[in-house]
Amino acid sequence: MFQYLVKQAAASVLVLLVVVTITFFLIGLAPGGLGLLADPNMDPEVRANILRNLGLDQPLYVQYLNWMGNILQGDLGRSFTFNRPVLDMILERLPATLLLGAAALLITVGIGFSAGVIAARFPNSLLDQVLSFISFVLLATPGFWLGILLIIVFAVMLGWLPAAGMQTVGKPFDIADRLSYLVMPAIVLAAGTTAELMRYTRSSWLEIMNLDYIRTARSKGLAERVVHNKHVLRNALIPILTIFGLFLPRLIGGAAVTETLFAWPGMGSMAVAAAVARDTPLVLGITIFISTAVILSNLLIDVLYSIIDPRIRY
Amino acid sequence: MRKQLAVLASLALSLGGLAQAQSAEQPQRGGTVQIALQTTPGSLNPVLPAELASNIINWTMFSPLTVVNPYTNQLEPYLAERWETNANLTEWTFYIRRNAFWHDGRPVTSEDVKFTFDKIRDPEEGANNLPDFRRVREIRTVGPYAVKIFLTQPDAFLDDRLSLGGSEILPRHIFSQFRRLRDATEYNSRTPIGSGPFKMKRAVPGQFFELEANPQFFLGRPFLDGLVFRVVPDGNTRVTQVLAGQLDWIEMEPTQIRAVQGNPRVKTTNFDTLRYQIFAWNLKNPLFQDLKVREAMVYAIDRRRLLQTVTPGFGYVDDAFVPKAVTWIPRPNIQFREFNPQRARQLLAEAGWRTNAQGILEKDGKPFEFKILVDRGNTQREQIGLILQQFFQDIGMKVTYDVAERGGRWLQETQQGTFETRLAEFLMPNVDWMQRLFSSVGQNNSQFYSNPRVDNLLAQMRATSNRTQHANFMRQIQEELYATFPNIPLYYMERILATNTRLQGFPAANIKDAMPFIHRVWLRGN
Amino acid sequence: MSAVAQTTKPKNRSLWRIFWRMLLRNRMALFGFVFLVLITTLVMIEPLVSLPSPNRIDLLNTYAPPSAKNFLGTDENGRDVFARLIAGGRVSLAVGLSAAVLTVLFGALIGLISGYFGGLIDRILMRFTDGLLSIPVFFLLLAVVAIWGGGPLVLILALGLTRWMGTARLIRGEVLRFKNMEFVTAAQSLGASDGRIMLKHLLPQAVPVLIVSTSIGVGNVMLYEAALSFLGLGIQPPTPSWGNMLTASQNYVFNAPHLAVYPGLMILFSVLAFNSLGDVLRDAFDPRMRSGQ
Repeated sequence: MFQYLVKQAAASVLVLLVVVTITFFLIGLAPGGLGLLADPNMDPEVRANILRNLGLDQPLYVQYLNWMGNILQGDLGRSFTFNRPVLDMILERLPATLLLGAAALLITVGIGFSAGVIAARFPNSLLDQVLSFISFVLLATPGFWLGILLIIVFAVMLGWLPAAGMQTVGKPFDIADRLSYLVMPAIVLAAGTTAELMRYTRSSWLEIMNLDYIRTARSKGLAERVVHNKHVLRNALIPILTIFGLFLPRLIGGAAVTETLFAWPGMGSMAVAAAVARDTPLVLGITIFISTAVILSNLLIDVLYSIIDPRIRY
Repeated sequence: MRKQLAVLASLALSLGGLAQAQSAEQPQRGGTVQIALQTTPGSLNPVLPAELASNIINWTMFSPLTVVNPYTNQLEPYLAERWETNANLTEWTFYIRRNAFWHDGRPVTSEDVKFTFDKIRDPEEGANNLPDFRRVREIRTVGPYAVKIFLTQPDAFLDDRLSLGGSEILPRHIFSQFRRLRDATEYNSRTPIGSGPFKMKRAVPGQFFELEANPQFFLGRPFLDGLVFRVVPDGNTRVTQVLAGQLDWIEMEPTQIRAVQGNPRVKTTNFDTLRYQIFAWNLKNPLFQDLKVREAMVYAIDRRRLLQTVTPGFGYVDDAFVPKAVTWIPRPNIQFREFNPQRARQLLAEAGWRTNAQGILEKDGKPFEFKILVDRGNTQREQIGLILQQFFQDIGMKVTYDVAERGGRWLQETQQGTFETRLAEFLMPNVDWMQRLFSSVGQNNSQFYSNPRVDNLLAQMRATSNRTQHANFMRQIQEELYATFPNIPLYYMERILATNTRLQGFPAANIKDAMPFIHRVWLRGN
Repeated sequence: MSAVAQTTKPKNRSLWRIFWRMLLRNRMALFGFVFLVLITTLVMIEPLVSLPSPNRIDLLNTYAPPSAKNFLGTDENGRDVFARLIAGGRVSLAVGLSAAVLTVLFGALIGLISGYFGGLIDRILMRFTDGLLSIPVFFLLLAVVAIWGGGPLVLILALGLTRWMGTARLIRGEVLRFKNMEFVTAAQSLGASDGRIMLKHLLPQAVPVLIVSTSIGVGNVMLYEAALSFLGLGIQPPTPSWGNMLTASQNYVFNAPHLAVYPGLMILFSVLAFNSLGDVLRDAFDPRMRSGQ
């Protein structure tokens, strides 16, 4: 089994390399260049000097070979715009992204899962209908629209929460201060996944309730609560773990919009700025870094699978 | 300038803000001011190429030899207390202040100046201001506090150019450890050391930069204790943060002014950006070489209405090529060309253009057809493009609106001269720019304008360092430009500052230009 | 697990009756259906009725309130908001549908081949699929769209080619379910080619999954387009799309907040409609739901 997992991880890394290669050339072959050089008043010689310093005067395939050679040795290269090692910049932004991602996951699992279970326990009740209506609307709302609404209501009209940033500058570490900055971006980031997890939990819960052995357990007169807690919960956790793995890249993608809106200093907003400025090493470096993290966490999730459900054999 | 602003301001703003900015109230010491940056600064080294965010923050930490005073728009001494030039403008001597110190306590000397300028001249460094030093033959120190710059050709504008950013002085004692300026990664991204009014206390790239007052600053210790620059990419978020008191000083779009009006915590001040939006023809294109066609196109646009729509209530229209706020240059003797579609049609008819069956202008069987190239992402220009398309269509031209990525096709077509017409933003920060934009060999003459009379006037102006004569030539050049339509100045841009009402003493200028004089800004009620 | 009915090809005609019955029972899906029919009709017949041109600028009439001439008033350039909503709807729906169809076609191709041939091909394709799932393609999408421009074609290709993985897995599952059934083995023994079996026998079985995937895919693509627009990278003005109208309205959110409401609601309703229709379709196609409830 472990062999299978390692093979899948290796395959994922291979796919990743193929994808970043394609992207490298898609970016490199486009007309125009770095955002920094977009000033039409820039002197041609200055432009040429900058290009030479960044190695951009070489043919694209040479640039690629140099870059890929470094990647394979674990060096993500230097950012074009910041002239700093990409890895340093990522590590600088990592804590903010992890904090926001963890908060969003917590909301997703905490609210999404429990709302799903509640809805499944009382199928077709008014509560179920209200919950599924809310989840439907959340799934259909553009994230930044929700964010702007929240900012207008809670930051401007009510003044309860700060509109953007991560902490009050100059204030010593204060958990309440940090939380007040975290609330809105975390909610916006988690809105879609929470709604989806709720719907997913509800349907898989109902499905499991209809499974033969659960029916048997219920017909034998086991208390409803015991059935739910012991048998159904265990079974429902499996598909949830699966969806968990799928949520990770989605949360990170969503972070691009959320972080930009709330000026959250994470990797998402950095990736957006880098994409707009055509900072190829930075965009691809972030992608490689996150993908590697996701591949590793998928490995971990697969291991967890086999612990929860010993029947699973690869 | 105040009078003109007042007329415009009466539309939407109270004048109180502007008057207060220059009030004689006794400044107080203390407090920290939070200023917004739109992007993470790419480089805290002012000499290396960088974008607006870097310029803003760097101008609080580094000192150029000369500076444009944002309160008066005139050139003033900064790190150099005075300078002089020989009669034929080939030798410039700058005298460094003796009370200037680096943030680490060492004195700023002529060695630093020579070191910095030599670095900028070295093509290997990739410095932004390399072209400004092309005519420099040698830089020599004359004792610890004077620098002599020898030129290969006369240059009347060297002092002007040194003030524009990118020629701030770097500490030699730090950079001598590195082969190249760009190798000083830590310095360039987190721990810069300059000689300006503020010094870096804590840099958290991507989030904020905390600066503290430099008690040894050569123009006196700043009133403020600290500055915080916060990176906030989204424009609306910046406005909400000013409302919430989390930012003290931002630039706003005119469309955002409603949000802050009536809020007792926020004051608005409008200012002349010294920039203007232009519609530029590619003058290599035969279609636009007929003066009558160009004149017709000027009359076809209702610029007053365009201005009112795009920047409701802010900015002004003018056919001069120097912003009104630059008061030391006399107004040229010109009259604004008002919207006059009849005259436009008549001029086109005189030029031989007839309306065909489809209602399109036609000459020798060819329709009057062109594209307007617009760079994506600038809301004002995107809107202008649409509006101009409509105006030109109304007089029978077939116009395509063509949006392109600024760093991509837009830049390429601009540089290679393959565009037909385009929208752009020009700036006129000093006299040097007049030759850059309108000399037939000017480095920024991307409209391919060529006029021997203008070239001649520019050559005469270059031959003198006398300010009064500069002013006079600038007036004559503008009159010549007015008669020959190098491009259409659509409107001069004004922007709005939204500030905490406690913030005092700041100039009505954009945030970047205010930064060298940040030591004069103070907070009331500390 | 599988019902007896599954051994023969299900009859499609009764499916639509079931779909109708379920649609009438699900209020949200019914609302969505009506909304989509209405919007599609408006988008189709727009050239026939005399609406103001969506790109006609009228500087004398900016931010106008609703009137007989302008149903929903005008925007910052005096353009008719209603006309722009319709024109924007055409673009948004077209991009959404095209990208979703592209996604589903590509996913179906991979899923069919993978499921039908099995073995090494299956392993390679599925590892590739899973590998792609672990890459945050959104960033790469940003970079590519930032550089190649946000034209409808670039968006359709970019969104269509990066989001097919889920569909491929679903189709593969369907193929595996049916591949060993009588009608497939019969066709094989009659000497039908692999291509023929995949297209004529297996693909039709997967149609329900394809339809459901498309329906939900359209909604997702529309949300993506809006997100890209927010970052300045979606469909480019002056071509209106709901995404870029919503984004443009952010510039005027303090002057004319209502301009943000209309395109936002259009996106919300459309995505809601496609999602809930997708759900109803899934239930209608699912024999367990039919017999069970």
